[in-house]
Amino acid sequence: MLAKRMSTLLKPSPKAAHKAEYLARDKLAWLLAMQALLILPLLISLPFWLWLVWAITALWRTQMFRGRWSTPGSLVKTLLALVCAGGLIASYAGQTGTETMVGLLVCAFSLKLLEVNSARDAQLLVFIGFIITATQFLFHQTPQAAAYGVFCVILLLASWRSLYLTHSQTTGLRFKHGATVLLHALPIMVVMFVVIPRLGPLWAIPNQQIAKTGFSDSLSPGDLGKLAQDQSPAFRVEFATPPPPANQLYWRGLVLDNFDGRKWSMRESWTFPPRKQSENGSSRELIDYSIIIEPHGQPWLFSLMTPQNVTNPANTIRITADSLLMNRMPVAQRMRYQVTSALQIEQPNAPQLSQNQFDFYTRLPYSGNPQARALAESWRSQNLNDQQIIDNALALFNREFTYTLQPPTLGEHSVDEFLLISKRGFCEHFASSFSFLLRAAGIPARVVVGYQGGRWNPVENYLLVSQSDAHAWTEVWIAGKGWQMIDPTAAVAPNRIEQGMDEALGENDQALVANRWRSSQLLYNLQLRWDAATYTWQRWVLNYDSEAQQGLLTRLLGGTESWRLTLWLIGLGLVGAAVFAWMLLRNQKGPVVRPETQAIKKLERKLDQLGYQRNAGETLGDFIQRVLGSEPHLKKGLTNIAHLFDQIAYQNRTAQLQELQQAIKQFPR
Amino acid sequence: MNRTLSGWRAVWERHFYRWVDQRSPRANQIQLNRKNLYTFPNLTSLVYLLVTLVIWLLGTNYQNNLILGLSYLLVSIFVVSILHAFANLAGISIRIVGARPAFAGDPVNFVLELSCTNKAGCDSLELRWPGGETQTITLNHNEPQQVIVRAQSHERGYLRPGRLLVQSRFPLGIIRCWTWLNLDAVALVYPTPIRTEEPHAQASDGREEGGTSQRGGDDFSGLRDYQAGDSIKHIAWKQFAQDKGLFTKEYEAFLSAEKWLDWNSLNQPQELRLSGLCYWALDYEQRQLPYGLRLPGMNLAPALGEHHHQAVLAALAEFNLPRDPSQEPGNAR
Repeated sequence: MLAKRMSTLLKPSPKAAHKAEYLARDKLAWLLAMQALLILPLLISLPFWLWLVWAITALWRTQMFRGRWSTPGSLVKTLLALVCAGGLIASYAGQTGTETMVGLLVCAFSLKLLEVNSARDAQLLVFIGFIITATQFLFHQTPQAAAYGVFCVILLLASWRSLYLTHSQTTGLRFKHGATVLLHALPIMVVMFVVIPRLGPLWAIPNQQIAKTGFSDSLSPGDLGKLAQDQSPAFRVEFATPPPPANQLYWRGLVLDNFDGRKWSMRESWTFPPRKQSENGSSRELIDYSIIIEPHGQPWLFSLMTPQNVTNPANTIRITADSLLMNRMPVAQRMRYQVTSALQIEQPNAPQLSQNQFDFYTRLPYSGNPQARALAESWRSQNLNDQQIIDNALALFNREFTYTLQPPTLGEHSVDEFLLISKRGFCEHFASSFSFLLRAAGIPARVVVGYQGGRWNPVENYLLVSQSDAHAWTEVWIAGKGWQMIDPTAAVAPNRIEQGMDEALGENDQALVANRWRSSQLLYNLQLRWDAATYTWQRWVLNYDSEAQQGLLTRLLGGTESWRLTLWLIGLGLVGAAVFAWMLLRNQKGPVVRPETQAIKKLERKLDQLGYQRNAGETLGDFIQRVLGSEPHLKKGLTNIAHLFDQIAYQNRTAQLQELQQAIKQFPR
Repeated sequence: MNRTLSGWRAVWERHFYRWVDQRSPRANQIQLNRKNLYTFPNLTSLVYLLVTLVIWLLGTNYQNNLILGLSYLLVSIFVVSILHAFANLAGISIRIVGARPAFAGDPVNFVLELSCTNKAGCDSLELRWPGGETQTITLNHNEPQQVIVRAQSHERGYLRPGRLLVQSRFPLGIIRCWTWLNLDAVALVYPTPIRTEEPHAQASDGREEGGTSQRGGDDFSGLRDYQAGDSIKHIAWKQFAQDKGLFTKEYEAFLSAEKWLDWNSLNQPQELRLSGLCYWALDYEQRQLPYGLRLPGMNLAPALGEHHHQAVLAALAEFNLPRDPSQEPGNAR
């Protein structure tokens, strides 16, 4: 649609139509190569048959150029477009998302090739090429992807510029000129990127389909064990205040409060309390940090207990009643948010659990796991209080249980089997059975999933939390204190919490999660640096938002007032203009003086000595006539000179140049 | 409505050209620089900016800094292409070399010499006189080049083709950089040859040579090499048959019968009369009949040859031109 409209705008005026410039062979070849390279990265994310569409149109266009095949009529073109659209709808099962949109664009880009006849059409193709380059960034945003994008822009500029060339140029030279344009444009672009304020999304956009990573909204035994082998990053944290110790780095993600005998899941929806006045935090330890989270396709975000305040540029994050962070939509783009958390929370008045809530958090299935229930009831019947029951359970884990990545599979009564038979498990087994025991004993409890710990990167001073740091623990309601975090895994394998999973596992398990980089210190350092570079890229390029902008501008310019910005921009503009003027003037001297004119200048100097000056605008002929008026004896020499000059300058008889120079040299003799 | 618009347009153009003239007075050689070059985005740049806007919207809505960066890059490419378009033309100097005379109604070839002091040279330079056809050239660094740019002539006299449009859309076609050069270009335009009745010498003129030429014309005087255009009646078939080559028989009458292009022997309106004289001048020159020109206040003795021919045609072109100071030939050739 857009392309159509643009092409009508670009229609050559009827005056120019009679000499429409047809595309030369090299220009067409350039366009073909350009298209192929532009859509190449998109084909990773889009249906592969789009490549076939391009190949067919490229073949067709080539055959058209060679005069073998005819230009497709409008019926054929419409048919082709419909087939492509149909194919896309079929490929995406009727869903209209970002991919469908980009797929359509790629089809239009390919099919447009059949209509490209003149430089103007080709220019439109280049323009669409810029949009195609932009869509590459929807799918890949790594530094490598950005480098490829820069290459695409150079390619586009080179082919664009070539359209207006009237002579042929080597490929290298075209690239060089394209890169020159880009190089000259870069400084202005950087200034714009740094200074121009960022806006939030202007309207809702079709969601990108993104693979869900990390844990899901339910937890069965064995779920996190799979994640433990995944070394990919989950999020990176930069602390503005001193970071808390490792054993307090519990990144809460989701609260699971509903148990069906095997699987913990969450209640239907989240509730959001009215935004309460921020209480005076003088007595609490507040932690300020910002997180860049990798897209994981889920709405939940991660924070330390208890988030007091959260901000992100688009302002889409809210805090639930369970002190969780929820984004309005699933996280499909890498995103940055800032949190203030209070580690030790002191409630001004003792929190209360209503009877409904109490029932909810102690609810268990009607049947199943009888032995675990019996154990809990035996503790209760011994008249132990809540804290003693908790201690009992933790002591039980500590005495008899093993922390392993390869637990035996559990049957119908998973808690019973785990507690009494296998006694080997990963964190979700401990969290799940611990919560079960407490609920069976009548103590409100729930399972929390998230991440624990992370790896400190000393190169850029941030914490990298990987999928392998996924963890599950328990929160218990203590009367008068509220929800308290208890990690049963810490009772079994304290190393897991203090030093990370690699240290806590036995030798057999370590082979499973073995970080291949750890084997060599050099490789490990390299990996740290690479991740630090990735983080810097994310921090300063991908997630350079209004807040980062504010900070950077304050640091660079000393403030962000508009007068200050204006002055700086004017200053930069002047510097840029000066540089341009210098570059322009560097190459410029006066016009090239032709040799015959130089010779005449010599004559003028000789006549000047005789007292005759040539007036501005006086032709040589008039001047000589004037001189002859009072100096008739010079007639022979001067007439000859005038004649020779005439021959050289106006009839292009350059062979007589020497004669002229000789005549002037001998003048007035 | 249309008339008002074109009226406004005329007023605007008059003012604009006056302003341009003040900035670049008429000269024989002009160097292009910031004083006489203008740059402005053309229609294509609107499409380009639309594409930039689309990319910006994409980046804003997806909160994607790389896409936003690309849109900023496109904006700065736009800015840079203004500078590049300017730099492409700055440093060119254009000199008018001269012009070949032509007949009214035919295009006149103006010879220009261009040189370029830019290291990178100058690509896709378009030159055009108002109403003329466009000439596209590419200049290399310090390699002066002669170019013929044609202007359309309409009437005899001195043709001043007006301002030379020098423009280029290089490198990216979204910015047009141009100038109108007020070059001191002038060309002599002869009257359009139109066949009329043949002019006759007036006996009253008293010129004896003119009278004698009317006599005879059948005395064979010799042979000369055949030239294209010679009458087939005068070919020496006898010599041709003897395989000696193609000759034309010359008769005494051709040599002696001098023709007079006499203004008074015709009685058409002035311009048509001049056109008729022009036609016969061409005819006599081709047939190698010596001819003279007799205009009010001017006499050219009968003769033949390129020099005489041009003198006659120039006299016809310059005859009784309307008095207009700006039409004076000035210092041009």
